[in-house]
Amino acid sequence: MTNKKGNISEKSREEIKAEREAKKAAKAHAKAKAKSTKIPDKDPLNNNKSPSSDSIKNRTSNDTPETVTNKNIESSNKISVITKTSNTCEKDEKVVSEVSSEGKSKAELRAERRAKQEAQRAAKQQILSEKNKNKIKEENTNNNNNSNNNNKPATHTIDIVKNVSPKKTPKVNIHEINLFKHLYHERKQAIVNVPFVNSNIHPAIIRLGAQYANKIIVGSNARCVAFLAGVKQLIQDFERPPQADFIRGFEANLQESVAYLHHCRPLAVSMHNALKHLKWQMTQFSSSLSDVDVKNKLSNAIDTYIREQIELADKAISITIQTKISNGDVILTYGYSSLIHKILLDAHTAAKEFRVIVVDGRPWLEGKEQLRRLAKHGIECSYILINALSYIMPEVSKVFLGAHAILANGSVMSRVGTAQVALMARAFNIPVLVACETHKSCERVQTDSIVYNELGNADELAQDYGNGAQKSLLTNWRTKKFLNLLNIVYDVTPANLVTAVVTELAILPCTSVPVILRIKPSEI
Amino acid sequence: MFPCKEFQAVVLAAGGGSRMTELTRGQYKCLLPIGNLPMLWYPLQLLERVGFKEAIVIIAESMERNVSLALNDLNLKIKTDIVAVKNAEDLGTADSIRLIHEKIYTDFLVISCDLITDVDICEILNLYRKHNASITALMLPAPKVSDDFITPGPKNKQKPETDLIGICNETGRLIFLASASDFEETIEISQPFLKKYPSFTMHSRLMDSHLYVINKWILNFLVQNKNFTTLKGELLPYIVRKQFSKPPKQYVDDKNTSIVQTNSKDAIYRFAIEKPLDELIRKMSAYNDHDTDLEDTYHGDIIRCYAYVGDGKFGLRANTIQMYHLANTKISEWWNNDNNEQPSVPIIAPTATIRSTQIQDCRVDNNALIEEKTSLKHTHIGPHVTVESKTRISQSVLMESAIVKQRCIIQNCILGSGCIIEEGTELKDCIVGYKQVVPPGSQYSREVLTDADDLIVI
Amino acid sequence: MEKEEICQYFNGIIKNEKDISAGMAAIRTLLKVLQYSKSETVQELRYCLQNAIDAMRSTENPVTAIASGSELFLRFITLTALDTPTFAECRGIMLHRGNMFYEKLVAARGKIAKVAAHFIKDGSKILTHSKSRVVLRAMKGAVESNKIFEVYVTCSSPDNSGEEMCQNLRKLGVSCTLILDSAMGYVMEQVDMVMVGAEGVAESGGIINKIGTYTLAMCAKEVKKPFYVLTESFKFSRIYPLNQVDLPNEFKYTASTLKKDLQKEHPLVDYTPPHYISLLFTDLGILTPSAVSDELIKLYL
Repeated sequence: MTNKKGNISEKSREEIKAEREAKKAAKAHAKAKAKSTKIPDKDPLNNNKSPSSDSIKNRTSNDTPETVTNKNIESSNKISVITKTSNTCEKDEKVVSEVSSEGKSKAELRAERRAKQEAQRAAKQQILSEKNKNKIKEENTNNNNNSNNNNKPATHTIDIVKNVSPKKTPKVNIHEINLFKHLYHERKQAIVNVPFVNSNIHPAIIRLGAQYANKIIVGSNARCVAFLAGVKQLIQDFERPPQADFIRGFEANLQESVAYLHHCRPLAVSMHNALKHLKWQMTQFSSSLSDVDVKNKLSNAIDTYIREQIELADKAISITIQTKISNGDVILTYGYSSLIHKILLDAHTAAKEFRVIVVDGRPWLEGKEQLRRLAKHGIECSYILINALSYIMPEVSKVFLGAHAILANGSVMSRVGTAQVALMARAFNIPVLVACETHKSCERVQTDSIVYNELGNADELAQDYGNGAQKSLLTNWRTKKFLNLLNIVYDVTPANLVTAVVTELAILPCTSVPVILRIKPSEI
Repeated sequence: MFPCKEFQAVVLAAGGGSRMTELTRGQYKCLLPIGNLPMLWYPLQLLERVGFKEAIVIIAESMERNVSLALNDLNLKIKTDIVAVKNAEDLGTADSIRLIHEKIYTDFLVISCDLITDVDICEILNLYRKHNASITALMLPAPKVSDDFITPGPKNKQKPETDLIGICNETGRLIFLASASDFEETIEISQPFLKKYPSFTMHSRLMDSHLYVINKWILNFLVQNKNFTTLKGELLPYIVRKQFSKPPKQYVDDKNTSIVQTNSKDAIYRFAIEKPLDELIRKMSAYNDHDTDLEDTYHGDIIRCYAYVGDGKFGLRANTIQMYHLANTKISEWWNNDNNEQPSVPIIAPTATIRSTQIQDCRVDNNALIEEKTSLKHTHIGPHVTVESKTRISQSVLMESAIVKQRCIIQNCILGSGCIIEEGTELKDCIVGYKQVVPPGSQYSREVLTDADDLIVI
Repeated sequence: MEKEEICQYFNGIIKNEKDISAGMAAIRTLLKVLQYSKSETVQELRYCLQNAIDAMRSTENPVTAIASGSELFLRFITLTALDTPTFAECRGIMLHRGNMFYEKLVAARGKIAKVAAHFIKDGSKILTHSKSRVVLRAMKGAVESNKIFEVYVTCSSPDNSGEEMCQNLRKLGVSCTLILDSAMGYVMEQVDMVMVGAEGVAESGGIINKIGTYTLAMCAKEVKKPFYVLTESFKFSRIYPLNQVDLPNEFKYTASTLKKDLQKEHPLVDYTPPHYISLLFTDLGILTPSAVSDELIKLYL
């Protein structure tokens, strides 16, 4: 470096100008050469190049002080530039290598090749690449920059280059919490590569996936019904491939669709059960049925499932639970549950006098929707966030909660925050009722909320809810190495915190729900 | 396994370029070169990038042969189904869609051939899917034309057309769509409208880029209603207005009422029907797109129009000379900014002969010949062009087979295909028409050089 | 049979046979009704029986056991194939099943006493509440096994039925002490276990019993003494009270009191939630409170 600096002071203005002109000429030559690489009049050009390259070399020294600051930033950029050009003109490389001989170093040859390649790029990149070319030549000739070593192998394969750039940057913290690593891993396993448009998957399923991923369809029942509606569409449009059984072919297609939906958002327990039911139905069909018949039967099975397991069950639960709502009650509910909404609506229609307290939790804030719907019907409601729960609890006479699933040991899996509400209610000796249809029961046994759960988007926690014009302080949380944000979607309420579970068959203690399933006509 | 796809793509290329007749004399509008690629390449590239494997291209009958040849040369992976329509001059965009309605069996994407943009269509499609929309339109910020940009040709007194686009701030719905020229001094907005959408932004600097994702039922509606001729001018504003209307209480196909009696205002609801479970799902789901009032999600509207604003992306519609020239000027800057893969077309074609030493920021197409001692800056040189020595060309577009003889100075011009610029001419901000011969030694500035009779669209 | 006859018969049994609980008496009454009924169809018979049940509920006796017992009775007799050609045969079958049911119930007390007796150890002190025939029977069984133990009985106002229990126990030869209701907390630390009967068992596993049982259960839990409930299986009912207020009013008050202003009346029974109860001794076996629901499901579904 210091030598070069000495060089600068020695040269005169005229010499520098002359060098610049020579460089321009060399550039033009290089371009012309690139166009006519196959024409065997390279040698004279090559000869022209060598003195010019020397002058260029000296010129680079002038540029060094200016460009040294930019070097590191642009280095990775440059490397990718090099690889691109090397790929496009690999043929040229091979041709040129035969021609050039003499005592030139490999580095200089490569530099010339690169110069030719870059001359074919767009005008703007030529300007950039000038600077880059200078850097490359300088580095190659200097041989004291470690990026040089990376350059040489890098020009041969893209992959190495891609590894080079991350190697240079410090190890980035991926912000995964150790305790939940299994959930992150599961998400990575579930990735399905599907072309964005017109893929193998039925459009209704693709649409459903987009709606799940963007939280347009939220809620266990809603997701289940939407899933079944999508599958119905799938059935209608399914065409049996020749020489294949309808059921087998359809099952395979259904499997693909389910994998895609799982990739968009992990399947709900209600969806799993609906799918199981459907598969069981399919096994019941005899193989002699025609395609149209099978389609009709399946559609009917789906309609029956929705009607019986969801709509009628909801009605039955609502009727059963009406007896538990007396005049003057203050009912507390958490978040949004379509079933609880229906129950409260029916009670209000039956002219019972009660008021509702809706508890809400970030980041989903589903309670707002519950509040809106209840208020629209004229029910007297209050709204609090979950941190005010202990303040409001002495006023409450009953707690009604919805559920995402009931597990085999009687625990209730529901939106995160539900366990908190149940615990608080128990502390104040207030009865807790969970309203849940039997189709949401799950054979899993979970004692805590960690072993199986769904991870939400951590950035949602960093947002200030509402239309705040101010940026949240957490917006750049990823830049802080030791800060992790965790957004968990569900939690598990242990059975001893729940006074009763209301299903369409009966009001039961939490532990007896699996018994109901044992005696219900089993489908598996 | 599935006969039905999710989206079909339709490219409208039948237009005659009524606002750029000087250029369309020698070449069909959709084949005019931008950056040495025919205009049609850009929308097709856009579709190919997002994953479309085929597209329907609607062209005028007279263009058929040229367009097929051009598409073959382009080597695009996307398969094009070329549909030629007769009497293209009399048909509007909606009419041509109506003509091909039998080919369309699912939701479809309509792109105009003059749309040059790099926006990611995935976002628009996702917006469409998320909300089960009826129409989703792409709005791009109107391209900024810097003050020193001069359009070749005479000074244009035409003001660029501005669109007035009203987008609801909370939900992203498109609630107002009109052209500024439809109103004199005031725009009327009714009070129920304001009640329903208390917070919305009226944009005048956004451009309706004529990229629409349209639901199948709108096509059915269009087929029935033959009084819509254009998409942008008539159909879209109509649908946007119809969002606001309420569906009739019980729209059951009553066999007792005769067709004559159906109220035409509600006729649209015969087509806009939801699938039976959709309402149930919406009721059960905890989602609401707005929280300013007590209404249900989407206000219970069945017809929903959305607009996707492509912020930070470039885009323009090359349907006027100004825009066309702007596209040519900016194309290298824009197109390479985002392109991660190789450009499929090299900047300087291998078959071109360049003897010049001063080529800066140019694109040269096949078989062009550029002699020595020429200076070319920021120019697009079409195929088979000859540029003789001692010429200086800057910021220009030379279309196919143009010949520029010696000692010419050409600045900021568009030279039509087959034209011959004789020696010693100086052209500044001019448009030279198809096969026009400019006599030697002439000097023109801000003019259109064509035969006066030939200013009709082919 | 007419309503008054039914009530008369019912009250007669209760008055004359001290050993039979209200529920059993109800079932006997129903059997009688079945025998003497002149109906010709199953529906009419059912209607008749339902009337009888309503009649019994309107008497002055506590309704809990009547309700549950009758319900189970009805279910049991009709839980068989009744598609015989003549109605008389049907009736015969139902009568037969009814008697079977009754016999089983009579034997129930014995079964319970046998299992419960094991839990009464030599030298233990037991606390019980009010008068319960089943507990008495269990203690009788323990005495027969030559166990020596002490019993504390609460007075259980307002009707002081604890005194009767004390006398009965003394007749058996068990050393027995009568304590005030308010002294149950005082005594609790000295006893080894608490044993009570039940008038009804709710689906949650909690019990409905004479007022004061809830307090006793809370004390027992606090002082960490086991709380055992002895009850026959016909007392299992499908109600699910969430708290004291949620208990149906016809259980808490007699028929005549229901007509008055309930704010000023004192309830006769209270509800003990399941988490205070350690075990239930029934003729179906020794159950935890959560198993009650399982058994109920088996009985009803």
